[in-house]
Amino acid sequence: MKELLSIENLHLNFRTFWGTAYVLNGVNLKIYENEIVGLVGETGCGKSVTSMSILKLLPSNAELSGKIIFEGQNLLELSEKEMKKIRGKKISMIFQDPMSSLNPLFKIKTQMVDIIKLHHNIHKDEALKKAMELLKAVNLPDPHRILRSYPHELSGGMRQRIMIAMALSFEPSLLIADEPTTALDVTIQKQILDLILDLKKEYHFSVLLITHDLGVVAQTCDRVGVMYAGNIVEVADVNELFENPYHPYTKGLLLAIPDPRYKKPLKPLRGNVPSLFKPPHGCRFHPRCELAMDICRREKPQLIEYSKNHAVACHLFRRGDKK
Amino acid sequence: MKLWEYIIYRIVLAVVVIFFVVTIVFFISRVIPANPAALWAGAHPTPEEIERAKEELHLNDPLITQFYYYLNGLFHGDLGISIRTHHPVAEDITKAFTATFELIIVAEFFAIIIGIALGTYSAVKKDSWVDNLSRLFAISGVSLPIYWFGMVLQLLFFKELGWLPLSGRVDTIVMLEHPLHVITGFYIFDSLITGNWIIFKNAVWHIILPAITLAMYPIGLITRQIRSMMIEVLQENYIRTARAYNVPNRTIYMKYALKNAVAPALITVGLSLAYTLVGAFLVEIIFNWPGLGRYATYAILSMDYPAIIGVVIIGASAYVFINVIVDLIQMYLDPRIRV
Ligand SMILES: Nc1ncnc2c1ncn2[C@@H]1O[C@H](COP(=O)(O)OP(=O)(O)OP(=O)(O)O)[C@@H](O)[C@H]1O
Ligand code: SF4
Ligand SMILES: [Mg+2]
Repeated sequence: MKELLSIENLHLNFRTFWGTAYVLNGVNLKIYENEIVGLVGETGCGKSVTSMSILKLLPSNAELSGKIIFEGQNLLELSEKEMKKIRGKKISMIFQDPMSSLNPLFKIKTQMVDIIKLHHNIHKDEALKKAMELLKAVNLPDPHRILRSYPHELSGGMRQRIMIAMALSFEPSLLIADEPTTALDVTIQKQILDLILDLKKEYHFSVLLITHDLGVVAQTCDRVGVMYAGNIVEVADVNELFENPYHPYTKGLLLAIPDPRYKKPLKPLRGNVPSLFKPPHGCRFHPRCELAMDICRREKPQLIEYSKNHAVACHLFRRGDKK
Repeated sequence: MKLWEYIIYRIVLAVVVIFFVVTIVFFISRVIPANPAALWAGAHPTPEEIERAKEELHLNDPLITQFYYYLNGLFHGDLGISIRTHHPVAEDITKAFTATFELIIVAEFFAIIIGIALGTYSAVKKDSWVDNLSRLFAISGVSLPIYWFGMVLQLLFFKELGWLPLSGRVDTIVMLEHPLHVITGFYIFDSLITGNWIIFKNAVWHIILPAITLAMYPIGLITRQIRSMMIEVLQENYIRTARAYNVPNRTIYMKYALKNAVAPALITVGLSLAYTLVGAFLVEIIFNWPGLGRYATYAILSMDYPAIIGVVIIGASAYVFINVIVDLIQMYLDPRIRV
């Protein structure tokens, strides 16, 4: 498998009125060609900001360091002009809330044509034709009507399909989907995920699928990264992760979902998500970890490949001492 | 509801509101202890003359009958005869109203252009020195008294620099030498379409200072409103979407964000228009502008109640219809309201 994107030791702080928030604390994640990687974690752990970092769409109070290697270049070192060749073209993104991600005061036509025209350097009529093709590609019936509609005249599922159609405008090699189905009802969720899977087969892009729904991960992803308070704490193939989780947080997460496969009583994680203004030293999970040791309070565990295709960041799992 | 149904509904509503205004103003003006008949009869009237004046003005009839006469006249575009000028009030007001309206249109035009430009720029360059300066300017606009602005401008541009005329709508001499063929009553417009460039220039020169004075408050109001709406809009998800596809900043600000900021800010524009209607009273006195405000002031000073009622009715109608128009524009801009 060829490596497509590699996030290395990504740190992100936000300077705010109340002080500095240490949001990402050395994130490491690789995405290979033609695979779907899931990214899971509790709300506020930094999934969205990780994806926004890739496209460099963060607000001006963000301080970013580390590396994001894509096709051999470090995106963090690229100028805004060079970034424009990547953003929306080679890497495109769809967002959680298709209701608010489209501009309410402009017709779909205007919004799509403005984007397509901009990049392909083509005339409006051609852009319109292209928009029509894209809407057909995402199985939207009656593209003529859709183009003439305002967002509020369409359903959530239709809007998310439009967002996907926009994302396909330039045949990206990476599609970032930030909770693409969270705002939709269950039957539509399934349709949208299936659509992404179908399109992936057709266009051969990789997907970074951000979600907090482990069921979605199990159904769609090849690999999955688990995030906790700004760190990737575990990465593994999907089946491996569900069958054989290493990290105490992952275990807790799996226990906390009502999954019939486990037949165990629902057991929520104890404690609260830590404040990112004063994150815990060492392992950020230690205040909530039942297995915490002395070293956990002092030293941050590194993400290591503990067994084949299964990496974990926890002091219980040291390089070398295979189970 | 269909669009035209809505428009008709709004117009009917407007007419009802205006009817209430007419009623209230009519009865208030009759309750005030004044002696219009004495005024009507001219200087040093004899009791017989006053009695005759009372007959002419229907002042001996019961109030309700007087009201009926008034409404009947109103229906035929007759607002009565001014006690002060002895002209039909409708005629006086039409003349004064176009003068005021011209002033308001120019002022509001400045206010909208400057307010939107300043507010947008402020929001985009939030917390920069330009933003701070424009906020200070906006605060001054809404808080400093209008006569203060007017007099400072007169001191500066008339007395010190001598660039602009002190007051009036057009120089009388110039008007006599180059008579203007009045079509709409808006001097700038009439002189433009009849190609009377001398009057055009003269009228424009005259309107600059009062229009700026009148515009200060709306500029402040609109700038602040657009700035805060724009800051809010720029954080919206659809702006993030546009950024994720490299839509250039200029398109984002001027097209995608501005429309979203302007649609709700229109309410403020409507409010500021109402304000200019009131502000015009002061500005017209300061700049000796022959408009509704000046007319009303004299009418009040001389208890010329047909004129007072006329001004109030016209003012209220203008206000009500401005709001209807603002609502319709808002509907045009925001498809979600167009149900
Ligand atoms: N502009 C910002 N300024 C300050 N803090 C921010 C900013 N944007 C995000 N954060 C903080 O960064 C942290 C991570 O946010 P992020 O949106 O990535 O969470 P998430 O994992 O996507 O959560 P969710 O599942 O709710 O979407 C949060 O604690 C959030 O408060
Ligand atoms: S490093 Fe320590 S505290 Fe962190 S998860 Fe592992 S055992 Fe728990
Ligand atoms: Mg998120």
